[in-house]
Amino acid sequence: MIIVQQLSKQLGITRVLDELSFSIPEKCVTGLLGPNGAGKTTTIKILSTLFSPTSGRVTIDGLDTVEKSHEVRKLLGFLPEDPPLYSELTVTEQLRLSGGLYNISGEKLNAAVRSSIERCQLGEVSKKHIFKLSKGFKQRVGIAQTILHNPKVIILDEPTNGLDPIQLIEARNLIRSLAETSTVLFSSHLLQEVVEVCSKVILIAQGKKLFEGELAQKTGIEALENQFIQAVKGAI
Amino acid sequence: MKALLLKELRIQLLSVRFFSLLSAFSLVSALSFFSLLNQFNPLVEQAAMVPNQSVSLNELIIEPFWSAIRALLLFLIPILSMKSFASEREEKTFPLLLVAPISSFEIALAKLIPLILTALVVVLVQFSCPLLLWCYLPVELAPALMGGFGAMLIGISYMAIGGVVSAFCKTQIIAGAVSFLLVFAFHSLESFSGDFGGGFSELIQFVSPNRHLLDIEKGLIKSSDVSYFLSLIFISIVIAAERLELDRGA
Repeated sequence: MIIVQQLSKQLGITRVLDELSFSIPEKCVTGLLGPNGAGKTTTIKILSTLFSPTSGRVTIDGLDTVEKSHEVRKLLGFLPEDPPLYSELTVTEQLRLSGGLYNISGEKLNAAVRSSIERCQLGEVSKKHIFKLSKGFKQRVGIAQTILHNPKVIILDEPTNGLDPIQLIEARNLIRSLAETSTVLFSSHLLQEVVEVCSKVILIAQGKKLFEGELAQKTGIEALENQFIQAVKGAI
Repeated sequence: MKALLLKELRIQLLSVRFFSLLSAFSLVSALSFFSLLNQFNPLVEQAAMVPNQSVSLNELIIEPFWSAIRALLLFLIPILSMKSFASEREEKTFPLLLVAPISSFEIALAKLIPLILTALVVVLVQFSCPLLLWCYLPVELAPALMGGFGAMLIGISYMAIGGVVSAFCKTQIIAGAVSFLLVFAFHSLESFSGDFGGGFSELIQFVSPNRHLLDIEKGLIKSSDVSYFLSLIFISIVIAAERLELDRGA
């Protein structure tokens, strides 16, 4: 579904990504794990067409993210670290705006908004203004607008940051459920988060891939833990 | 694009901020109008003492009034336009627009059209003063309205420039300050044209928006003047769209 080949990104004098290659299979949650400053957000920005790579190539569903960026955007649902929400709008207005940006209108839009509100359990706050919501609810609204247009690929940048334990459990369940219909890429700097939610993981540090593999087996998790500890030590 | 346009219209035109600024602007413009009226009465008395001397309401009240409106717009427009793109950066909402399958030109249009409408509304409200005068005194209506038309053109052009500046700035404060300096420079261009000779002076006069208002205020609408203002708006939209393209592939 997503193929990343020899991806490099130079920002000023810093080489943020260095010949990074990996692939993400269809309809599963893949974790992009790495310590702070590993290059996760840069990778995600390239995948979501916000950055162009210095070299290398990314294809999503066979479409190049640079050459076919407009078509790629139709397939994507992207949630940045800070959910892009307009504080002066209500939850429903925000979701309707988001649907409108993907050319959904009329009864289809009403149905999509209802479905998103239901999936993300936003019924009780649907008429509230965004600025009145807690961090957890804002995160849910962010996820709701990301999935509103039924994207083939969902990219979530550190979506569980700052959530309390109950919100964390709810967010994990929601992210797992997204993989029933979409391919999900989920970034985190927390090993536990990735182990809980993802079926595949890609570990990066200093812009390079250290590990790529399934988490189905215990040996896979142990290998990942060892690599992650080494990566964090290296980053410090 | 329609969804974004409606959201922007609502935020720009139906906000407490806009109504507060419009009210303050209208109050200042009304005060300047009544100040001009007060100055007019002694002039009428003086003219009455001189045979064959007449005073023109248009020359003494309406023209200075629209001139004052154009000057006041220099202060209002940066405040109204600074929010447009810069607030998206400040509040980190830009990714929602940048990853959506709409073109950068559409985003720029959806952002700048409400700003232009805002400028139109502000100037339209100011027509009430000359129209009030026309109800009671022999004002020549056509030149009075053309003065307002000129202020509208100036308003929407400056608003488009302010919008573009906002597209380049990370904070609203910086956008407001830079917009003010830029529209002030545009407004003052004509006064510098005499300092230079030959072709450069002609170039400055061509670029100066006030120069293109001279005929319009006399009731003469030339295609070259209208196309100057339309070009200014179109170029602003294109520059804003190009800036967004850079944001999408930095």
